[in-house]
Amino acid sequence: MDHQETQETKDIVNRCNKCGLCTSSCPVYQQVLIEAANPRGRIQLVKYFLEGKIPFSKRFKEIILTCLLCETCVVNCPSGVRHDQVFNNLRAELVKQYGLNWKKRLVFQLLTNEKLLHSSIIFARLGRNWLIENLAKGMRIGNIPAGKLPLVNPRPFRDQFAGVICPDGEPKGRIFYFTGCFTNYFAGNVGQAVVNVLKKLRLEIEIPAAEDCCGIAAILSGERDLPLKNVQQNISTLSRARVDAVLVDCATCGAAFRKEYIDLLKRKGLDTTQAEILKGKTQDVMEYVAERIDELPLRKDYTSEKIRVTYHDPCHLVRAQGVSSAPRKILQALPQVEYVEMEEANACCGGGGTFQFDFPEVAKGITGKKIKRIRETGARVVATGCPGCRVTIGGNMDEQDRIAVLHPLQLLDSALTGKGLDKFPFAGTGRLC
Amino acid sequence: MLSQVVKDELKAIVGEGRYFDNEEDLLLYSYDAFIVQGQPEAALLPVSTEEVSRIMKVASRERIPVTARGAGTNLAGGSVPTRGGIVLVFTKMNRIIEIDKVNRVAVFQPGVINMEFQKELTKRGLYYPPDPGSMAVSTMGGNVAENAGGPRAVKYGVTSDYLLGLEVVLASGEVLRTGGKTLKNVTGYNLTQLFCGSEGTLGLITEITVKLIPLPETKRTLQAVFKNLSDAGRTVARVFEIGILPVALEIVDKVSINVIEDYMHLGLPREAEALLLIEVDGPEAAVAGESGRLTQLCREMGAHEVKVAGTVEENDEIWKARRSAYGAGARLRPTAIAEDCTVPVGNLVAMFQEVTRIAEKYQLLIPVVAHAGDGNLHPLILTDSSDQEEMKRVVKAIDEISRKAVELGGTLTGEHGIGIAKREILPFELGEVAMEITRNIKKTFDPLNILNPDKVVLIV
Ligand SMILES: Cc1cc2nc3c(=O)[nH]c(=O)nc-3n(C[C@H](O)[C@H](O)[C@H](O)COP(=O)(O)OP(=O)(O)OC[C@H]3O[C@@H](n4cnc5c(N)ncnc54)[C@H](O)[C@@H]3O)c2cc1C
Repeated sequence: MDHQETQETKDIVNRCNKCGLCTSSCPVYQQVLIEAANPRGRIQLVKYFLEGKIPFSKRFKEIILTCLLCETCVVNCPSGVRHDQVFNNLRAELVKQYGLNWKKRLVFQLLTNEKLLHSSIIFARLGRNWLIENLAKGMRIGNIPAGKLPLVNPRPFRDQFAGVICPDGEPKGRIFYFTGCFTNYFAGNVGQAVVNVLKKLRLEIEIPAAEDCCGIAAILSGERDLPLKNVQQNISTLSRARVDAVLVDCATCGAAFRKEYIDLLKRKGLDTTQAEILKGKTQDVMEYVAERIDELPLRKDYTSEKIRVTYHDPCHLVRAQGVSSAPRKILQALPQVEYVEMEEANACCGGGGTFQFDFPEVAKGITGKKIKRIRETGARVVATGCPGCRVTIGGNMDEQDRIAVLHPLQLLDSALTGKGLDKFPFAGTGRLC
Repeated sequence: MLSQVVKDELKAIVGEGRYFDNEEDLLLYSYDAFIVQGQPEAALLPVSTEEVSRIMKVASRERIPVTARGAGTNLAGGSVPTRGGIVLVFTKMNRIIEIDKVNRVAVFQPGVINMEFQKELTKRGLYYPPDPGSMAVSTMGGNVAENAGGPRAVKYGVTSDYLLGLEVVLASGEVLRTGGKTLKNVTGYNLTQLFCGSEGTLGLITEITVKLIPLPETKRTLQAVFKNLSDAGRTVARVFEIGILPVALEIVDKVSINVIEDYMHLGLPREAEALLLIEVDGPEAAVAGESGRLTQLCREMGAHEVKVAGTVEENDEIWKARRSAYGAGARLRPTAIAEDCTVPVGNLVAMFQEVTRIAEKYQLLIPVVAHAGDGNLHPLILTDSSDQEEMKRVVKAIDEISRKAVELGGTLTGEHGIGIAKREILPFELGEVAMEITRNIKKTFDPLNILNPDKVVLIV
């Protein structure tokens, strides 16, 4: 760690009073019940490390990495300790000292090179889809059966659009829709739903051609150099555009634009003026739509039985961006939906980016608990605004689960077109997305 | 030093994953929420009484010090293994064995978290009132070992008032069972209560039986703002005189109000000397009647603003100020030491004034919140444990606060316990006769002095 990072980390860990009120909130601690998984414990250990009492040992690394970065501890800390910043700094130090493992390195290199990503995904589509459908059927990636992993979109979502998409009727405004990698390459159906809804709101939709991966996966793994080019490119494209808002359908991209970019630039000693503009313009698409839900021609003639829907709060929306009421407002407005709240809706699903692949045993317990909460509601659909959560939750569901995992706007889109909500496939049996 | 042979023997009892002797994990069991530290030589996480008993047999044979630990949230150094040895962590021994609706009792293991237990009870319309501020994280074993209490103590009492029976592993490894499922029991000495508040120095609690009551129908919170602290103090006494027994009666002092306001911006009146919070519960009609009478009383006693919550959310809103006191203070300085002196309710205002005087004398910032209904004050001493000069003043201030409480007819600690923090001053309150009996009790249960030595009472 350089001097600045060391000082920042020291200042944060010294704030910890060891009261332990973060303990029960930590999903990892709840599973393993040892102090090493207690946010307080990790903070103390970092303190010992900075004091030179312990080296960067294997166990220390493991303890630092067994964290979902869900930020529940941050929210629960009475002393205002920013655990996430401490752990991020330590992750970055880890990468500096030991490098990333080759698999992560490869993925991040791909993600930070849009041209390469684009062509390799198209190239890989046939081969990969065939591989997943045939060879990998019995395999698991983390706890998720390979056969359930989403297939690549037939055509990258963004490739379908050139220029500006015209609204249904006289335009009321213009927005940027940042699709993110997941929608672009895997969840074209979510992208389509978003576009349909925004068109109904009579918006001109610009889908930037020069869109790069938000880079957050690399940043949160401690790789702070590789994604810098993407970050700067995105900031420059998105902050300069003459649009009313920059909308995202992915919790993580939103968290990047509103939080991580500024942190990263500050750390690198770079100017944040444009990043602040982007932060100000960025909204999750659910927030934007919720504010205008009354303008949408929701079909009131719906007569069949309502379907029960519950909502899961992604960490990157509820804690990183403070978004929780907007998705509920949308779902509650849908005439076909009987909305029910699950217990601990804002508890992490156990995905945590690559956490579920690095620590499948711990993740399994956390995701299992989330699925139990979902089942208890008796819902037919669990909606959530994060592709990572959708893959984690859907991927861990059993065949018996008669539950679909969707983005809230997919339900809204169906309500607008009058399509029955019971058509969505169940996550337990079908493929995700 | 534990030999490798003994370490292997201990590890074999609990197995991989529940035994640690590596530097990192030992450091992780070297602290609690107080400011002292001590590193164990082995950390074990048993899941059954049998495992605890087998561990204690080895420990007594080898004379290894054993420190029990729940969530490690106590504020007196109670779970710090000052002499090394074994730290016995109960967090994985966390099964609720039985919630018996007919007999209105519950039986569970010590690692159950207070809040988790409460959630299970609420589903069944039952209630276990003790609510320490740490209830979201602290274990029931730790609650019993500290005889924890909380705001609701005014009406409902503390942990000991609900404790019916225990299973305890003694220093020798023998298993002792006390009490049982009956509400009445005068058979023999009350050994159950002897362990309540014993801070892990007499035995290891492995099973707990408590009584339960029906969940009250509803509750309501009032907040009254007083220009003068003494008016708030007099109001506390008057509440009981007009025949109302509230669930909680809390006072937030002027320093706290300002510390909270600086960070939370709740719109609290900075010039007020006291915020008085009153909560009542029971059937809706009774609660409505009582909150009306309390509003009137507060006005008569000089409150210039009284707010009554209309909804559950508004209850929470009012409690927010009180609950933020610790955090708001803790944000100001690197170290926050929560004191715990307790006086007869009639001397509450006098004790507040003493704390103000002592804070000025030692040039310290000490916001105070109090469970006013039971005379329990929490002066929060804000300091920096790395500043040696300031810490000297802190030690003196704590000592003076504690002595003043005893002089005012009160006690050194109402709920946080003695641990290491108050062991030197313990004789000041107990006197030599009680000290001698205390030492003899300790020797009877723990002749080898291996159970949490150095805590509560020093054996030489
Ligand atoms: C923010 C905060 C607020 C708090 N508010 C309150 C409050 O309102 N009221 C209150 O009373 N306390 C309060 N406390 C203090 C503390 O939370 C309580 O004392 C609690 O009961 C400790 O439980 P624990 O599980 O953390 O036990 P620990 O701190 O781990 O242990 C406490 C003591 O019990 C012993 N012990 C633990 N388990 C066992 C066992 N199974 N058998 C024998 N001995 C055992 C330990 O050796 C130690 O001496 C607060 C603490 C904090 C940090």
